Amino acid sequence: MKKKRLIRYFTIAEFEKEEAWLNQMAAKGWNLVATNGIVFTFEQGQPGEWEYKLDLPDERYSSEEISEYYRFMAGMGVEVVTSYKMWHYLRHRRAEGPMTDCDTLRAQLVIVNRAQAYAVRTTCILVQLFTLILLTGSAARWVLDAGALRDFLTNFCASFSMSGFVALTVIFVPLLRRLRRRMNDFVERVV
Amino acid sequence: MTRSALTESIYYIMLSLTEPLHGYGIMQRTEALSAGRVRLSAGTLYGALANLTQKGWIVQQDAEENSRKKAYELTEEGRKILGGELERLRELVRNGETILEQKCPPI
Repeated sequence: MKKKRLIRYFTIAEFEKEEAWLNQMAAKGWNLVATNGIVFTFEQGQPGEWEYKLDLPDERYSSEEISEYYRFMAGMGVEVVTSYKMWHYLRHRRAEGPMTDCDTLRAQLVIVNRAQAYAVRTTCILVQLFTLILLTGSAARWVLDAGALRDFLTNFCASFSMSGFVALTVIFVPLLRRLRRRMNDFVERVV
Repeated sequence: MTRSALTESIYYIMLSLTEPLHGYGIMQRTEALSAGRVRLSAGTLYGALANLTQKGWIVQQDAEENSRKKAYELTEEGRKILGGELERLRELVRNGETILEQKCPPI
């Protein structure tokens, strides 16, 4: 079977864009079979045979609930094609009807809320990690005797944590803002 | 205890679980009950069922011998919640009828 690999990157806030792109590819007969978040592998098939949907199950689900999720999807005639982090790529034959919610607002709200929780948690973990590295560097200066190892550790820790904080500011802060704005939008539309 | 209204989807999901049903059956029944208006994607339905199970309004039955799928069913608690919701809906209709079907007062 003919395969094609494409490189794309979508942030956590762009899942609708990603879904739309996957459905455009499927309409042309290129069906997603695998992804690692950057490289998307497609297999050639019938144009318009499948409808794709991205789902983000609650991150608090136990492994038991996740396996139940897979069984549930199979029972619904939905294939879990692949997953990347918490994102699950679902597909369903178009001939069996659409895979849409009548209440799209609520369905989107649930996913954006989970995406926001995921992004906040990741940010917190990274902030803690970089702080720990920063502190390790300072501790090395006090604990170790002067020498190549001490210089290396202090320099490495300082530059590593510094680049980490810059990356957080540049990447995660705008992302969190965007998700936050979308949540505000939803609340305004619901209330 | 004040409780907010059930959403239409939740109301129909619970209403369809007066008899045990699997995921696909629930989707079909909610659609049939609402004349095609209430349609749920598999992901949304799974989230809603997990939520209702956690609240104790529905339960998952143990899988039958050669079936890997689990059926869901309404609990006593769930039935009470539905009854309360029905009462609330009746009140909405009553108030709407009383006010809207009154003759307009002469100017």
